[in-house]
Amino acid sequence: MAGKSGNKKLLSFISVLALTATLVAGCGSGNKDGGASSAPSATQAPSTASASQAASATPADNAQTYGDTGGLQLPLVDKPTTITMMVTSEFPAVVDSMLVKEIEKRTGIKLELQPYSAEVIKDKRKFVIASGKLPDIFAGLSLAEVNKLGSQGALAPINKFLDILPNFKSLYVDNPDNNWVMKSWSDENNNMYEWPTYGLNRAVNHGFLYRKDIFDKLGIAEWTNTEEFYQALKKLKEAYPDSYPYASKTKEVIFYDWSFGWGYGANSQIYPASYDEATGAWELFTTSSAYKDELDFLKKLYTEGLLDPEFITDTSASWTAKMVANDKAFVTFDWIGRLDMFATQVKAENPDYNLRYGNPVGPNGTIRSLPKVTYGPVIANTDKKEAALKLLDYLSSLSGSELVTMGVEGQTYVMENGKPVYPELKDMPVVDINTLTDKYGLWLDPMYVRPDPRSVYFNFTEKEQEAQDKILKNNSFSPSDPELKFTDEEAKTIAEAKVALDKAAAEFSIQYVMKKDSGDAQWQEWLRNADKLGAKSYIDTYNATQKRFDEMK
Amino acid sequence: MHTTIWRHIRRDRQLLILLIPCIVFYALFRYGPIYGLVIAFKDYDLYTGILKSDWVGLAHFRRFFDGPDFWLLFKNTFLLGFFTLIFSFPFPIVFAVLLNEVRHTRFKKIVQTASYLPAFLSVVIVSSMVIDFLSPTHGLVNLALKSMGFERIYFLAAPEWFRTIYIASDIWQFMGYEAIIYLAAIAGIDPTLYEAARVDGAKRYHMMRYITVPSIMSTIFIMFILKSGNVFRIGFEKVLLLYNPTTYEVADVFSTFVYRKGLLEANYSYAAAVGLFEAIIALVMLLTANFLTKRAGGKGLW
Repeated sequence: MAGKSGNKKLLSFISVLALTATLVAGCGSGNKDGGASSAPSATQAPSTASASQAASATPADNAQTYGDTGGLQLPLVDKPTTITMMVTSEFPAVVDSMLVKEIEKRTGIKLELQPYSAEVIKDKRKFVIASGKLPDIFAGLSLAEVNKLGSQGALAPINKFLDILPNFKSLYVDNPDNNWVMKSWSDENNNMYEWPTYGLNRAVNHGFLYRKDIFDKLGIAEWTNTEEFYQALKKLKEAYPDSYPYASKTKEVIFYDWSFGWGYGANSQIYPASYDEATGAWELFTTSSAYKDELDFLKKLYTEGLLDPEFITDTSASWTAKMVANDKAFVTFDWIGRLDMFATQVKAENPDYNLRYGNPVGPNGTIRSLPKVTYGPVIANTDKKEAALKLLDYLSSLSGSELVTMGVEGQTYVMENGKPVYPELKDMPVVDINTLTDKYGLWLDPMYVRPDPRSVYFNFTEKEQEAQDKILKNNSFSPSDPELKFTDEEAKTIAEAKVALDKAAAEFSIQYVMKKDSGDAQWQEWLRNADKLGAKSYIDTYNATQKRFDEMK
Repeated sequence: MHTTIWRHIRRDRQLLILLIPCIVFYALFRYGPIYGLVIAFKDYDLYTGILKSDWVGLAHFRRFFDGPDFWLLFKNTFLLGFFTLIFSFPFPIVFAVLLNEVRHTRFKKIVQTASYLPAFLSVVIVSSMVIDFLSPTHGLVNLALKSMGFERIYFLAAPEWFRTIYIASDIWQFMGYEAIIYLAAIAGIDPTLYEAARVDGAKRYHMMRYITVPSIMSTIFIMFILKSGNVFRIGFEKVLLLYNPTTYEVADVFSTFVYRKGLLEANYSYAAAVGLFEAIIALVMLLTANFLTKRAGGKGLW
């Protein structure tokens, strides 16, 4: 009897201990987070390595052979300086990487990296900022937040140091294509805190995708204009009466995606404000006649059963199922990575699956142009700011850009046919930027302020290359709208109006497309409704700011 | 008296020690953060921090009430919450009472287990299932309608169906799980009551009506009070997953509205103000329900 209760006691004691142990273990958060690192997603680039010949590696020690530093003198500092940088990476080993060592060798600056994975860094950044102890270099804040911090004195104003930043000067001050950056991104006192990133975007990233294998089977040629697009969808419907040839997973965003073919030129932050190059004035795109044409075309497709009626409820999963089948949907609009993603997914069952990039749709025949200059890091206003600024300037030079996004020629890579090949990585199935980060510490966000166009990041698959060539050949990009700089008050007015206008436009557009008898009367009602929601003050704010912008030097 | 309290503490020390983690949890995670609510009355931004941000008083609340959609959102939130309460409340009770009558034990256990499994599914999974089953082109529901000769209905694009779909999927997901409390209460009923009733000639139906249900009445009242506090707290995930621009006019609730606004402006203060508003309403509803229950003869929460 005693033994039995004794055993029971022991058992319950042990199970309590075990439960507590799991609780404690569960509480300690591991720092091995899954998830890809932020910004450039790796391409599905086939490995460029055929048996690469190991060139005799002669490390370039001579300062003069570090490449074009744009006028900067290396080393950048005359006494050893440590600079902290918060980077996005799930590889903690980057703190000792080749890149860190090489930067110390060339510039004399010891980089103390603070790597955090993409999921964790957003919150970590908030805490660090709230604590007041900013890293010397970091990124990830919105422009509004950056300017706010800067005007409170927490960040270094780049414009006050232009004399020691020759590369920044040549890229963003003297270059007529880019000098809008200082006008648009500075704060109300014309101080610029945001260091730009140059040349990160590929030319083509989204577009109309179509099943070339089905098109070929039915003898349909790829469309070259909107009418041919419509005819192609009709022929598909005749051949497959139970299908809905055009499928979409983007719900109401479809109206935004298609707008670039009807003349829209900015981005989703600015939408629906649109800049008319001819008149130099801003207008509301969703009340323009071009938008009505776009809606009328979509309505025609919907009524004739060419546009999937579920376009406003389809999820990514259900849309994928339709696009990989052979008789449900054949054309869509998405990121070009799908060309290879879907093909790989169905390779086993459907080896003939051939999704290709199609010509733009819409009277303007254009797609959105991705900006050449995008946001980058900021520098904390500490006694190390000059060293930090010079470091970023070096990374913006050709020499620095090559180092951060390609490596050291002769040591980490050798050039073959104009593309870098990495001898130490020749056994890897694919050499993309993640592999390079892991091995050498390259491509760390936000260090790549000037990606080298020869880097593996720009290795396109054959299908992606075809997409790039197609659009670049005809230069079918819609002209970019100017990036305006708003005051706090203006930004507030615009934000409020945009939320209301977007919601109302989405509601109206879907009703218009889906209801058989909608027509001019509904359109007029929408125009009145938009007016009531503050369309006029919204556009007037844009035009007033544009005037101020034009008058700025 | 001083000594009596200490003696009580010493006597019950084991229970109190057991209670400590609970108290610490509530103090740290529920009461502690309350001071952060002040950001609803300030113009909070990350860098200046909570203490140093400017006071704006009721500006956020005024902005909220003066917004063009406030009453529409209020109506949508209230109706969705209210209908969820009155329609989904009876089901777990009825289910528990009926299940209790099942004689075949194994069948009873299987049904009970199967019924509460959906409660563990994430709202994303349930929404995906709902979207799939209600699809106008390949959904099971529409295929069944078509085979019976009816027209296909695009459920998710119809504002008149939104609340039904939302509430019905809620009932399906949580009925079994919520019945557990009632089943536990029923299990605690004295069996001699049933025997005495049987002797008096009562049928199964009479026993259900006069013994089972009255015995769990206090549980029912308490659950009702607790749930009525949540009428206004419509979690935004499910609405976000099931709504689309065609159903905004009935589906847009406070939380989805703030989600859209917050995303554009990262406006923590505004979101905090709206959250505070929702919490105050929840408190009012809780107190009202408690008061009404006491008036109706039940015990109430306090």
